[in-house]
Amino acid sequence: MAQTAMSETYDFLFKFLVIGNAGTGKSCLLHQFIEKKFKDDSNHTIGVEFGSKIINVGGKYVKLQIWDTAGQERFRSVTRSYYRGAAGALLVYDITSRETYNALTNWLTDARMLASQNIVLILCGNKKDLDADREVTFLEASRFAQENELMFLETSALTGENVEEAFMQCARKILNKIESGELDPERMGSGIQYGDAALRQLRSPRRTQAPSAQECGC
Amino acid sequence: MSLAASAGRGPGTMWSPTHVQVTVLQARGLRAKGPGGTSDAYAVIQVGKEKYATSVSERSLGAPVWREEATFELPPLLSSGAAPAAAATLQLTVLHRALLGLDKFLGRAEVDLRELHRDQGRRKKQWYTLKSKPGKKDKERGEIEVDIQFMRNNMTASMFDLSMKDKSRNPFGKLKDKIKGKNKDSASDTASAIVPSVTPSVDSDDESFSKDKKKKSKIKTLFSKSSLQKTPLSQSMSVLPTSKSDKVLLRAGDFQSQWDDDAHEDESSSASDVMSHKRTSSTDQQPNQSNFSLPKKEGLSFLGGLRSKNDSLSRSTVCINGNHVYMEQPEARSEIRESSPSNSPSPQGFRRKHLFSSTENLAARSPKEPGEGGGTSSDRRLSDSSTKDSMKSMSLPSYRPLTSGDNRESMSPANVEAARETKDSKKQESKKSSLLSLVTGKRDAAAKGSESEPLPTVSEKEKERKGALVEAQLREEDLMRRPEKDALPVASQWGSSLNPFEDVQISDPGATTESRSEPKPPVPAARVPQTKAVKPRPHPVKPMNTTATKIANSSLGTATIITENLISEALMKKYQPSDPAFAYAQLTHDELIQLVLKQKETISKKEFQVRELEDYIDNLLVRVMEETPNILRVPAQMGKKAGKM
Repeated sequence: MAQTAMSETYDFLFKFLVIGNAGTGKSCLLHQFIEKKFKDDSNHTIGVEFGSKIINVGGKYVKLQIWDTAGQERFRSVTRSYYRGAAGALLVYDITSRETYNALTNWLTDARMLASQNIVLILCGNKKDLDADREVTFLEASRFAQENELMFLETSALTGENVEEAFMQCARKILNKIESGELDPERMGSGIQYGDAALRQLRSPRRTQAPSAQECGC
Repeated sequence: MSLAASAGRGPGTMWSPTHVQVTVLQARGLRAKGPGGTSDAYAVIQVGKEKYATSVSERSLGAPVWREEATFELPPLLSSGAAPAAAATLQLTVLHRALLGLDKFLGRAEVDLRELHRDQGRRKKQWYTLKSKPGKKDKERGEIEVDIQFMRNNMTASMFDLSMKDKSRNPFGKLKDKIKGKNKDSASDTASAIVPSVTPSVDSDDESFSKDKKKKSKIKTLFSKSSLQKTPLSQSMSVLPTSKSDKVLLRAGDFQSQWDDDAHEDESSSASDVMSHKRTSSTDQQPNQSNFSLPKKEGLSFLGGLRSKNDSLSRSTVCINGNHVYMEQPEARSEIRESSPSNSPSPQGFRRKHLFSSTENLAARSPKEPGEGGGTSSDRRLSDSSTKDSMKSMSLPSYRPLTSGDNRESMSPANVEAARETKDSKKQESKKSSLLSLVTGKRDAAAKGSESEPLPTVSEKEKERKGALVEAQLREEDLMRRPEKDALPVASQWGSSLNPFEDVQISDPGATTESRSEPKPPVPAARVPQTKAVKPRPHPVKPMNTTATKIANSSLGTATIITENLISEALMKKYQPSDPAFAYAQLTHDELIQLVLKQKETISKKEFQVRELEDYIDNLLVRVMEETPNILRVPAQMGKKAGKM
């Protein structure tokens, strides 16, 4: 699978979402995860975009296709397409803004309703680097996460702390669920696809995507 | 005027219109350029270089309804054929408002106004087939219904409009019920349209009444674009120049006019007391006033209304009557002018005449005015008794509403009838009785006025009082009659009735344009005075109805005018001309409210557009996400080719 650096061979493809209020750093998290750089010139996200990256989780190569959208519009038709078939999501709030924290329940509801009941969510308290301005304590948020069966991490898109970890944890949980049979990749709307080696090989010549760090490591 | 009038009257000769009022009513069978077989159609009305656009009829299924009008100045000697084709061709272009890119052409119709005038006389409503652009393949593009109405300068625009509307309404006139209401309303309407200023001038009750109506009409106009012809018109007038729309909103003229109204209200009481002062002042100020607004037509009517009102007002008679009265009076005066070539050469006199045709009575009283009125007219007037004047005033109100000569007859003495006859014979050409009636009414009034006129001020006052009383009576009669005569306007007209205002405004723009373009009319000297009166607009802004009202106000009481001026000046001082707030400083409260409402409207429209765009993008995004999501991949990814999924 990882034999060719240029190839995008993977065992699974997961559709991920990043959701949360505007200004919580969703796009920066995505950028940090994919580029390993902080996106300091980021504007308000308009529209929808995604990034993808292949990571190695417990020996399996998983391609994450991570969708990012603006944090405002919740009731657009695009929202449905956005959520549809997502296997996992990062639920992001800003630890320096209680407002973004208070909105989490709404986001949670949307995710569970519009994606799937089985979507794997990880709560990310972003802007961990701004601890001085913190408005939401770790304890409070972790309690919230527990009540809602979420994984929880505090992250910093600026420093990169826990960013990859968040994605990895989420992907690992999904893999676990697959292995335990809790999730069936064959099911429509699961947000999971098998990697097709043959197809991948055919496609690979046209692929220009850089191999992920994990792949290189291999 | 005399020239034009004489020319017009001559048997077999065409009267020469100075303006044409084009009302774009609707279209049908348009090609669909928008989604779902709809189009966001609007029409561009162009004569010569001047053009107006209607509002956009959104999502119309090939049959948009606009009912908006614009008034254009015509080249001189239209009927003689001397006018260049380009300047005498009405071009109606229907376009589809495109969200992106250039608006799409839906069709064009061209009307040779010279021919139309020759063949159809004064007014014509008909369907015109829309054609392709020259050189392009002809397609079925549907047709557009347009009402084209020729007007003459000397006639006050307001009068024409009203008469025309009445006519048009008549066909519609299903609303007899409303008629009575309308009658009241119409009085108020006329007042509102023309009178707004007047009403304020009028004494307490009437004033408030008229004001309220005014406001209503304004509000209605704001809100009901589509339904009301007049409103659309007013809007079109005010807003039509899309490019200028912003400016329009800020027009100084509008504001001023309103001011005038207000001032009138405030000053009305004082004005009545100061009658003599008014006159003198009015003479002095009139030029100024004329400068202010001076839409000739409207100005005349307004002035007339004001004067009549003033007269009546001074007596504290009914303002409503005054409105009606002024209508006729101006006409009468105009007639007098026409009839008496002796019109005073003095510019002031001219202005006065034009502006204050209605006021002429007053002017006649004042020493200066006799010249204006023309020696003959003044003499005539003198001969006429005060009662006659009162009669005029009486008759006048009735005229408009009635449109027909009935009122006159009832109102006016034999002289009037004689005048009519002469006029009628002259104007045989003009098909529309309304115009005739107006004219005749004017003439009659003029005749009366000429006969009765030159009374001393005191006598005038008396007359006024009498007239007011008579007017009141007449009013009642008119009300009764109106329903019958005027087929009352339909619901739309109802709106229009409020709108008379709007009409006035419309006419004003035309007048202003005229004044601007032709400071002095090419027409014979007789007209010149009128044109002059119109010309002297100091304000860059187009005069609206309000301006007309202003004029009227000015005519009414110079004192009021002065006060207004003072007020406005005081306001002006608050802000430097360079200050953007300066333009707003002149606005009355009503104006500001109007402005705010307009702005709100535009904002909501914009928001709607934004929303539509967002929806569009949203839908696009959905399709992209589901069909070719790859293009949504973050571009940041190493500058490599967009990856495939």
